[in-house]
Amino acid sequence: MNSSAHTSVPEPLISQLAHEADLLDLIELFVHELPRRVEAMEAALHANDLSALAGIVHQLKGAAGSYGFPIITLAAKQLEDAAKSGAAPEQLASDMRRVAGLCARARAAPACAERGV
Amino acid sequence: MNDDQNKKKLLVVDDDPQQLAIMQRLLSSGEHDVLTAGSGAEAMGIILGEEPRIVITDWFMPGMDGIQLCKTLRQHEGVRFVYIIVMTAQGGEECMVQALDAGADDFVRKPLKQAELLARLRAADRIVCAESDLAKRTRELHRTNAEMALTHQKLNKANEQLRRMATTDELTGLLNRREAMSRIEQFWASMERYDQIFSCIMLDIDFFKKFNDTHGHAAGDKVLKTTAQVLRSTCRKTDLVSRVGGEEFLILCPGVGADGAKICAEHLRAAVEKTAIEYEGTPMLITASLGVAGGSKLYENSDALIKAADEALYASKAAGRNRVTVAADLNAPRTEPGAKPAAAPKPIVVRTGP
Repeated sequence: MNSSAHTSVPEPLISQLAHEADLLDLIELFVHELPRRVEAMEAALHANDLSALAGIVHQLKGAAGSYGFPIITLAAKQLEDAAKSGAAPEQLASDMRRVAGLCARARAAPACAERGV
Repeated sequence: MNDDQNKKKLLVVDDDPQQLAIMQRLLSSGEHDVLTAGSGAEAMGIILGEEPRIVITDWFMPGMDGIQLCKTLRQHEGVRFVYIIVMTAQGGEECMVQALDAGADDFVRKPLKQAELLARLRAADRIVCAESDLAKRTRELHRTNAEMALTHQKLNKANEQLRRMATTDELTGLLNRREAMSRIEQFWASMERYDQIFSCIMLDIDFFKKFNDTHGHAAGDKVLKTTAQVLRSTCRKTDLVSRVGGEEFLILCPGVGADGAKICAEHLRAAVEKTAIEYEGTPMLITASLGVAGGSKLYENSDALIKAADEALYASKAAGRNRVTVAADLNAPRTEPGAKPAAAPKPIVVRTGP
């Protein structure tokens, strides 16, 4: 239901666990905290501290899956691999943008989305 | 610490607080008391302190990672068995192999589905219960073994004491009559079967009853004890000294014929004679009469041999005491054709004493 394609209009990325009422508050908290994670990653990338970047992205990679965002996990894995292998700055910047973009679209449930699914 | 309570304790280790939060939530419907740790080091502290039986740990963490945690737990002597589940967001078969080889019991990939997680924990509980049961049985077995070893030790000690009591004369510490009779039977059998010679010396303290009546039982006991010491220290190590009656001693001399035993008997007589027994400050002198009989197949049995030594002893008494008498040489009658071996040979008095 969520497109991973780059579109000009940001489409909300709804957690696959949105139907789990028990988890909703936690997912909302996770989504709420995503900008903080993205900021930390961008700061590390800006400081060219690739090992710190890899660490933060690794955490995101694990947590995102658990919170119903497997697509963020995939993107995070790509960025983590790039950071670990010391990829070219352009590559890192591109992977970073992709992760940040997905994080910005993440929503806990359709009710939290700006538009309906 | 209550084992049943610890069985329910479960520790989740992850450096991401939100990963811990969702794990805690997923596990809240299960039967476990969920503890959390944000690092491997923190996990070690909780494991040692709270003794959870199941640990679910993230692989990649700063500092001690999940694999190091596995290895540490498996190598740590003081840590009892914990069931370890390693979870990771990535990794194929080689990661699983690495985790299991490091000591993990299970390997799961994030994201964890609640149903799967709880099912894996039920499997973990079965192992933990089986391990607890086994550990309990092992402890019981060790305790039973220790108790049995102790009982065995006590029994051995009691048996040893009984054996000593059954074979030893309480007053003198010498072999008692029963043991002496058993030994002479063995010597007799060895002589019959292998021609191994031996002799017996019967010794009786002179005028002991009179001495006892005059000076009392305590003095009599002192005389018996001292005589026993003198006999033991004068004999060869291979000789067996026993007390077979009130003031009567039997000395068995393996490997020695009547001639050798006669010399031994004379040594004993002289040793008794020269021993001054101190009793309440007064030195007392005693003497002993002895009878010697060399073991020979010409005696009907060991009883006949002892009887011969006894008769030689009484010949010593009759001849004035404090002397040694050797029973008749039983080989002599064999030279007479048709003559029967003497069952009770007439003692020949050999006066060696004063």
